[in-house]
Amino acid sequence: MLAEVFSMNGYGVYVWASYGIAFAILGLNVFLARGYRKKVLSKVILNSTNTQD
Amino acid sequence: MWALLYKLASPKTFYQWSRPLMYGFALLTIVFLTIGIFSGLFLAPADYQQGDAFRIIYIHVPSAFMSLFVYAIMSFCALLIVVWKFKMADVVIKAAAPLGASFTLLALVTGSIWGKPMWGTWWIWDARLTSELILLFLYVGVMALQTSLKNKPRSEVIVAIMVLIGFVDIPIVHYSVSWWNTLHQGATILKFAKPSISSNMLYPLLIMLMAFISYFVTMMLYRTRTEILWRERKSTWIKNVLGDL
Repeated sequence: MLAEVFSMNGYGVYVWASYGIAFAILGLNVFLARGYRKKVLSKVILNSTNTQD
Repeated sequence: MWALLYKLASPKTFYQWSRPLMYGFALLTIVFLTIGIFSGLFLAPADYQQGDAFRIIYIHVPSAFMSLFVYAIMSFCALLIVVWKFKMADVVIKAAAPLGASFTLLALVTGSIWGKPMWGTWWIWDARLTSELILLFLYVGVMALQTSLKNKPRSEVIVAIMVLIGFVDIPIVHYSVSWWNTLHQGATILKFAKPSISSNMLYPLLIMLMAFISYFVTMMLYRTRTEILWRERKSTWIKNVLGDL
């Protein structure tokens, strides 16, 4: 049963690769956006504390 | 009406109202993705000609649709910059371009993977594939131009003009299968007549389309909020925002 799901009648490699790449690209977008926000936040906080001084 | 729109689009107001909206769309993305992937992979029947390989459609078609949709949004924003000098539109273009590029890349890669078992080749220089590849170059070009013109005067207008020139490619991508004799199949969903796809296969596709749209809105709001945070870092209201974090 599980083997049938994975094999997709011989097209498993193509189907699962497509879904895997989709998750990788969409996930990478989230990861990079979070990283950029963290970087911006630390710079803005630094800028804010420097201004206060 | 215009006064309300201007107020909603001011960086400070946008930053406030976009937060709950972003979380709402993030939730919708998870729900639609879960239902869409399950029904696409396990509930939809196999195609009588393509077998289970057709299930790539649930990734390929939404990403191809989004590649055009995101560029159309960017073009609308570019028009707002050129005609009305609308500042927030530039922020939206910056936030949307990498997402559009990702969808285009995904459409090209999944199309290539689908093409191998169906057409016997990973790639062919037919009109649909070539115009979609040009769209990817346009996205990359917009991002490169934004980076190279950073902090330069009127950079947003130059980027907007480039986006508007690139819009020529959008109808070419969409109508390429009608205008030229291509290996890529014709329209089955986005056409004026009734879609020529079984409803059992269509509904998961529409759900996946909603998932991709929700994902785009979530990520665009997230990236736009980050960009506002950076551009408005010297404003006093930012200190209140930082206090809430």
